[in-house]
Order: sequence, then C-alpha cells, then structure tokens
Amino acid sequence: MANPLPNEEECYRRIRDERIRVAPCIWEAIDDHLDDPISLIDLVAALYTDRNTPMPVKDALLILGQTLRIREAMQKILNPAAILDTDERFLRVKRERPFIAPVVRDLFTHYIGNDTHIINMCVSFYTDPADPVPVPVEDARKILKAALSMRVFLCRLREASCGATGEAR
Amino acid sequence: MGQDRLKVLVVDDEEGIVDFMQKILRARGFDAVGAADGQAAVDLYDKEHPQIALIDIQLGYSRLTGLDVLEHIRKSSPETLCFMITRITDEAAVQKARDLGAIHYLLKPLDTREWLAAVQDAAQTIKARG
Repeated sequence: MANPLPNEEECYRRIRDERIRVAPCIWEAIDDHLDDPISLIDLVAALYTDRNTPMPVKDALLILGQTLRIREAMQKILNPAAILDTDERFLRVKRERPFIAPVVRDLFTHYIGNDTHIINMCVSFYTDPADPVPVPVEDARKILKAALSMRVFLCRLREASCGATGEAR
Repeated sequence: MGQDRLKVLVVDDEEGIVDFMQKILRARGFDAVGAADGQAAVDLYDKEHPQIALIDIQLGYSRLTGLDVLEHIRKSSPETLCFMITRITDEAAVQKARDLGAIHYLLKPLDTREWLAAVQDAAQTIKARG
C-alpha cells in the first residue's frame, strides 16, 4: 500500500477547516469508474489469500485490466480537457470542468496513483508474457492491502470534504 | 453439508464481481448463484429461492433496477435477507431500499471482510430462526 504522506494529517485538516469540496460530478465519476475496478481487485485478491493459494495468471490479468481502468479514469478526472467529445462516460466532467483543489489533487495522485501503480507492477511482473507464473499468496496480500488503502482513502476524503454532495456542513 | 448450505443470490452488472463474490461465498461454505442483470436476477430468484440476496442498486443498462429486484423479492418472500450494494451518491435509492425492507448496505468499493462478515451474520440469524 502507498506510504502515508508526511503531511497527510495536515492535508485532511486543511480540507476540513477550509471547507474544501469535491464537485458532485467528480464523485459521480469515481462511483461510476473507480468503485467497480477497486471492488473487483479486492475480490480477486481476497479469494486467493482466503484460500492461501497462488493466484492463477488469468486472474492476475483480470486485476491488471482493472488497474488500467482506474488509471484511465483518474487521468480523465484530473485532466478533463483531455476527455474526447465522443467519450460519453466522462461528458459531465468534461462539460463542468470542476476545480480540484491542489491538496485534493495531491491526495488523489498519491493514494489512487501509487496504490494502482503498486498493484499494476505486481501483476505485470507475474503476467509477463515471456514467463507467466501464478502470483504468490504474499503478493496477493499486498494487492489486497493496496485495494484497501484506496478504499480507506476515498472514505476519508468523502468524510473530510463533507460527503458526496459537496454541500457544506 | 449439502442441504445445510444456505443459498446466496449475488446481483451486480459487473460480471467479474458476480463471479468472484460467488467463488468467495462457495469457499466459505455457501451455495451461491449470480446474475448480471435485473431480469435474470428475478428469474434466478424465483427458481432458486435463496435465503440471502446481495443486490447492487445500480444495474447499468438493465431494464429492471436493483430496487425492482428487491421489490420482487420482498413481495415473493419477505423472510429473504436482502443487502443492497450502494455507492455514496445513491442516497435517494438507499432511502427507497430502506423503505422496501433492505436490512443492510454495503458500500462500494467493496471490502471483502466487511461484506462477508455481514453475510455470515445473516446466516447466523437464519440458522437461529431454525
């Protein structure tokens, strides 16, 4: 899982104290494009850590696909200008181009970015087409921890920024 | 163990989620069935009569929503324990699910420890009923 930011508590305190909000269209995009891939990574990794057996390559590839979904969604959420007019899934974000406070952007990049990267690196190593091998249980546990880390981050950010609606307390 | 196994219905429009929730449930001794759209879920419910249902409120392009599935189950068999899988932005739908008698809410992204503990608690409740 991503290491905590050295100034993490300060970041959340600022979000709370300065009433920094995350636009509803951002939460909507997260719900639509991050929740399912993170859930699926958690489920796959949990199955094999629960059984204490290595994860087969085909399921590691499934996880790899979810990391790409998350990465694509994050790129679009953080950079709406890059969203194509034809990409209907992100049109609301493109249309509203919401302001994302730097502190929120830093947290997103750190937690979602790094945790996705950790998972991606791990499954990429084991699914290398030249020598694909099952993912050992200890690495499936690392994947599970990274998925949990993303989930905890999203919950914490929602709490600090007053939930999904962006309404002030 | 066969006849003692409780049956769980999993409904989510993400097929991978349905697949792996079923696998985890089976590994924990449950009998699991799954559907990736509302109509298939209703048909499967009528055929299999599960004691527990985990239903995603949003079912993508499905004609029947998760709430429709919940409503069907509550009318058919009020004793089925229904959990709704929700997102933070599903507030209005969550309120309706509560009104329809859903007993618990599981927030996406899913945490396997959390949803599995909720299902195991429900299983205990059902077994205690006898």
